[in-house]
Amino acid sequence: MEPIIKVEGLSFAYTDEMVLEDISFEVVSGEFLSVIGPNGSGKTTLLKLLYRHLSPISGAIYLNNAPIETISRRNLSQKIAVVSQVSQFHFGLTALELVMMGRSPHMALLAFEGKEDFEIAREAMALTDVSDFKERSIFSLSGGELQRVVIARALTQEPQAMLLDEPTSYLDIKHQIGICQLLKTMNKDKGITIVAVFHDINLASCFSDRVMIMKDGKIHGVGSPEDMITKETLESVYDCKVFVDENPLIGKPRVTLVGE
Amino acid sequence: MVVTKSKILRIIILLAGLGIIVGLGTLCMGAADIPVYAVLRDLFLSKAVDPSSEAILFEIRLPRILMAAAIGATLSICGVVMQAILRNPLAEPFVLGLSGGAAVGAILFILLGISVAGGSFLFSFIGAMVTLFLVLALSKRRTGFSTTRIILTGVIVNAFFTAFIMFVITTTSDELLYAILFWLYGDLSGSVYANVGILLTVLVPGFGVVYVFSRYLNILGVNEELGYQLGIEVEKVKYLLLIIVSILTAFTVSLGGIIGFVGLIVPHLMRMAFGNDHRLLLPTSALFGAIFMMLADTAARTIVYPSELPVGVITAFLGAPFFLMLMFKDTRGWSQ
Repeated sequence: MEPIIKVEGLSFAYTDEMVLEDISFEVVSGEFLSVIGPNGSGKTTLLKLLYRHLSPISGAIYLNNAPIETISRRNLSQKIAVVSQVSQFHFGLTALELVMMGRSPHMALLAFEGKEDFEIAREAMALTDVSDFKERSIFSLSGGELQRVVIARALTQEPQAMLLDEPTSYLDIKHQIGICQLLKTMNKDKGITIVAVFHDINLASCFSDRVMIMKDGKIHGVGSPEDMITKETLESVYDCKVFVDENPLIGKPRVTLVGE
Repeated sequence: MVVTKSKILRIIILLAGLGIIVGLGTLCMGAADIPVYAVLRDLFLSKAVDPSSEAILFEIRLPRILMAAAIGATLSICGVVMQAILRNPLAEPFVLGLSGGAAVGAILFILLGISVAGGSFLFSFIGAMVTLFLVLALSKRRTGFSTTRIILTGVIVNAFFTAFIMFVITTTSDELLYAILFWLYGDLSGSVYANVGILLTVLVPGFGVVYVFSRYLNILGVNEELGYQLGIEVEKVKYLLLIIVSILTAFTVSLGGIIGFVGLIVPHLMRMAFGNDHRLLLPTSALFGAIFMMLADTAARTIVYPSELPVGVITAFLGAPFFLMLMFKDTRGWSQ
């Protein structure tokens, strides 16, 4: 399979301290890749580099074999959609207005949204099950509803790949599963490549094709959930005790935290 | 509702019509009792017109009304852009401390007693531009401009200038003091067509450039992060718009003094009325700002006749209660 994103020798630092050091990996087109690792291991920074919010000190990132710094920001946002960790909103917008912003990368500066744009947004909102409150203010939405609206906005960009930073944090278990299933559906039905940062290792285990583990700004390992989510690996990466067995319903690794 | 071209056009025509009516109405109002209808009719029919009436109408009132309209439109647009870029509901055209800088320039001119044509304009404009680059330079960081730093720097720089102004005010003789105070609170008397022309030559292209980025302002107003994600060159757009808006503001301050409140409340009123889509918000704010200023200035020159009030006093008097009333009913402005 062709890599959609290829990262080579990537390093980054905000100040003097290296946040990412010599990172190389590939994201295969159409796969669901989860990124896990302790706080401060550089996961969010890595995502920000992938959509060029930050620029690396050294190393290169390729999107469809083209170095991303040669791709215009607008072009990049036509191919990669981002759902970031905390979405803070300052203006009172309706859910539909926010979703329609996803069309921006495809529109000329002075253009107005056309029929086709509305149709794409409508479809995205139907898929994420937020059609009912399209006229509601985003301030009135619950955390789970808002997260689905934000994902609908990302879908409306019609991207090839979607980068998500902890899309399930702050959500209850029903919505955690709901969002992950939605991502899986988009991944399978629309062929959208997913790169998602998870804190919940069990969610990563359930839904991803491959899992990448990061620690201290380096890649600890990449591979299938079965290979990566093991007691030895997790205990050395997270520095705490865990118990890992097989989820009897889906046959994937299952992590249980061990209290003393 | 997502805005459409026809909706924008309808509302613009409506507000422009209202603006023309208000303009004609304010032309009829003033200290001297002039039969405006008769003068206009005679002019239209190329008949002889009383020269003093004609002079009052076209040399004194009309340029002043046009100036008020142009300043109102400019300040309102600047307010809209500042609020979106800085994502702060308190942002207004003077948030970068331009008013303080311009005032220091103008006061220096008044104090030094230099007699150059257009000197107060030049001095205050230079003061404002020096402030702009000072604030931008101070708030620049390796990663770009932090909006919080911009606002903080602006506030601090302005506080410094205010101290200077207070110092001057408390140590100056009476006649100069009056000139300074009047300038500080906004003064449109003595407006001439040439100045209106100057303002329009920056307002029209300035508005044009800002309007090109109106859809980006929607996104940047939500949050900056979203701008990056949706393919906007955030830093470049922010920098460009800040500079354009600051230049526009510098021109209005230099030509009309510090007229507060317009750039703050007009954008908010329009947000409440029409929502936060800048493709609609920018033209409506420009038009309503013009209308608001024409009314405020007419009040300033008629209420305490034969004396005159600084127009800034009126904008705050009219604006504050009206604004508070609407804010309590607001459902679509800023974060609830």
